[in-house]
Amino acid sequence: MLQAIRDKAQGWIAWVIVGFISIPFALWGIQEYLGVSGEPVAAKVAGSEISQRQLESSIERFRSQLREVFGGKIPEAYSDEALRKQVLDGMISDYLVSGHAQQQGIRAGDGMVREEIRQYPTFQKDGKFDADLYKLSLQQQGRSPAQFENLIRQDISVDVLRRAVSDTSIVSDAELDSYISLKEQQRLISYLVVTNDQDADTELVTDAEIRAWYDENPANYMQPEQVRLEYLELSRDIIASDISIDPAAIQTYYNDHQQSWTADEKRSMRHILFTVDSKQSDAEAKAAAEAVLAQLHDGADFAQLAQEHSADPGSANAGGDLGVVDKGVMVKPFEDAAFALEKGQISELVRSRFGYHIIEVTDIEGGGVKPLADVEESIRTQLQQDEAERLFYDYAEQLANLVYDSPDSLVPAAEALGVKVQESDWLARTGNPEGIGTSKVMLAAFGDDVKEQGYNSEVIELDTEKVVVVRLLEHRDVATKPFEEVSDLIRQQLELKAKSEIASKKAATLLTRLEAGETIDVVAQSEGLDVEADKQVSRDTSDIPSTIISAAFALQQSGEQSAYTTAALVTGNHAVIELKSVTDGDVAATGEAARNELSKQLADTRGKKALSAYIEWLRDTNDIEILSE
Amino acid sequence: MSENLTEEQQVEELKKWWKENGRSIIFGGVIGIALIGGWRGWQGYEDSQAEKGAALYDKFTTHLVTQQVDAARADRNALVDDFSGTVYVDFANLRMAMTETGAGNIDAAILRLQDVITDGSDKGLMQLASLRLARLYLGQGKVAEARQALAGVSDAAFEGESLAIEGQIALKEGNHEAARIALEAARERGAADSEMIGYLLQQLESPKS
Repeated sequence: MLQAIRDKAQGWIAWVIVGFISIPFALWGIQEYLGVSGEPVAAKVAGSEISQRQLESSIERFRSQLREVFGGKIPEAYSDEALRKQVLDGMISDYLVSGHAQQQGIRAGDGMVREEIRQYPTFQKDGKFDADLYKLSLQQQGRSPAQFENLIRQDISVDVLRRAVSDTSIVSDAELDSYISLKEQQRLISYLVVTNDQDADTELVTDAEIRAWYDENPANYMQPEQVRLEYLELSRDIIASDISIDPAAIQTYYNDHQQSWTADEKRSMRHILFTVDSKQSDAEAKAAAEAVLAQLHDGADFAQLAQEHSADPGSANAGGDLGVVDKGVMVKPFEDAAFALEKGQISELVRSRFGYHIIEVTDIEGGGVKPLADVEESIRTQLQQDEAERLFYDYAEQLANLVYDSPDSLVPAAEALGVKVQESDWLARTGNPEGIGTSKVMLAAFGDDVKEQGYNSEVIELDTEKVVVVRLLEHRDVATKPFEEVSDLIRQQLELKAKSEIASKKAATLLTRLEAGETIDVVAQSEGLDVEADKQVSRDTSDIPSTIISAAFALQQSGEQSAYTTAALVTGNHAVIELKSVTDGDVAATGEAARNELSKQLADTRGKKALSAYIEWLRDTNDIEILSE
Repeated sequence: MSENLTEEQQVEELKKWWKENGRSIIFGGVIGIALIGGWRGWQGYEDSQAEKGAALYDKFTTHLVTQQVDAARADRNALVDDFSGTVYVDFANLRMAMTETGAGNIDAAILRLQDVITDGSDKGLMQLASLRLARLYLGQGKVAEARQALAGVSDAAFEGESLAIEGQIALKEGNHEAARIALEAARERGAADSEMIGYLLQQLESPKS
């Protein structure tokens, strides 16, 4: 048969067959060069592709950054879709800029690449680039130096392009001047405030109007969805209060912890010091001390003798009084002697390194063991707490089982554990910051199990020593608050509105009078109002209501003539304003530093805008196809 | 070809075939290799040219950062001489325009921006330069020139900035209504200098008393 094939496989047929066979060999691996890969593509940007895999890994990276920023949880505002779009948008921009940089022939030289790599802290040992470390780090990342250097080269060229767009924005001195003169502009104004005072007994708003307002604006008086809960709370304190303690156990604990009930002894004392130093020898001091001691034994006054003879500058004037002295404060021989004395007893001479002391103890406090009666209560509490701590997790587990076994009631669990079922107030989804309204509980309370099915919640841990189980008592849907509850509020609102309208009308008449040529003083006088006259204000003046300031800065003067306007105040009053003159901001008064700061600020925002416009332009002028859903 | 040729005959056939086609095959091969080599060489030359341009531009920016403005001017001139048509020349002109403005040489800055606009190799940069040029003219009070510079902005991406400048030109010409319309459009497009635009609009939008 082979011979037959060989026979036939001659001539052009053979060549055609060979040709076909060679095609796959010739094209083998060509996709590597053409950049065609089998992977799903998320977007095509100006000829290059962003693969689905690249997109996913970028999204994941972004997510973990967000988690870091927000402490472990991504806020709901970042929906999956929005996040995806944001990341893909960012990638498209990067691809565009990078592609454009390449197309424009921006290419970083080897020297620049080397310099850049040397700056990486990861490749530095003791602040210096280390070639071995560099190779090692790359190996760990599974990259070759050539690959990495190419990446850096690309980064540099992108950076060069971006900077050429954003860091080259221009702010000329002339522009800065006109900016400052506008920003720091000062305006001289006078104004008067038309109050909305009406006779208190005039009825501004009728009941019918309030009712009508309520009916027409139900959205203003909505009450959110609310639940009322019943709950079982189990805490160490609750358990502890139910534990009875055997008096014998208290006695044992008391006996075992004697030292805890022994208060430190405190003694009040006074002394007379006879120093031994270069001026007075030991013998001289001792003789003097003995003479004084003898007088004391004869009944002389300690305080007086101390004042006369004591060489202790701190206590002599106080009659030798040292006040209350704790153990461990005085030098050793002094303390030994002083704490061995009875109350009111005078010591023999005591030699310390300062010299000779005569000591008297005037009072003794504390010391000795407190009687059981004094500490019984605190021992009981202590024992209860210890026991409660031991029982807490056990009880919590029992609670979990009980509420699970009878999901339709809290009563069995309450009875078994001896805790009371409690009831909460109405709670909205936002809850209360404390107690039963915490977000953990609210999450459970508005969850399907509790709110819809009416089951017990799981055991919710409020803190390390408090758990709670809730179930739904009552539920109310989003609803308009009952009229009775809000009618007073509406009355206030409508009254303010009515008063404001009265004031507004009055202000408008005054405005016409001013525009007709009457002066503000005359107008004010005729109305019995005070004029706030000749206030020089700038855009950020804060001691005049802000609505007056912005109204004043919105006015246009024609020539030297005053211009007039009105402004509503938050109080419902209305101001009538006269703009007398406009002074441009003083360019010369702005210091060099402030000027530079302002210029930098302007240049920065202009630069940022330039870059975003440039990228937008790249988007508009390149083909972008988003395939990812 | 006849059937069952002997080996010798086959060798003979091959030799004959080589004699007829050998030359053209060798020739084709040589041309192919030369083409590939040439292409590689050209790419290498382009890369090295680009790298040389990059290095010079790098030197130029370093001179700017260290405030050696004269040296930077020389670098920029060298870039224009040796690397004309590359985007590095545009970059250098943009940077130089900023530096000259900072030094108070507005006329020199205007020249550099005009260089970008007339000789530039990047349409995006050319339009940015037009915007910057218009701002400089406006600062000098040359309203007609500013307006003419704005004519160089044609793509939608740069419209916001263009409108902001147009509004200020109109204001300077005393055409408040046109100024208001342009500035409002600029604000809507999120143009830079939003604070200044806000101040200007505050007055323009208030009803005339």
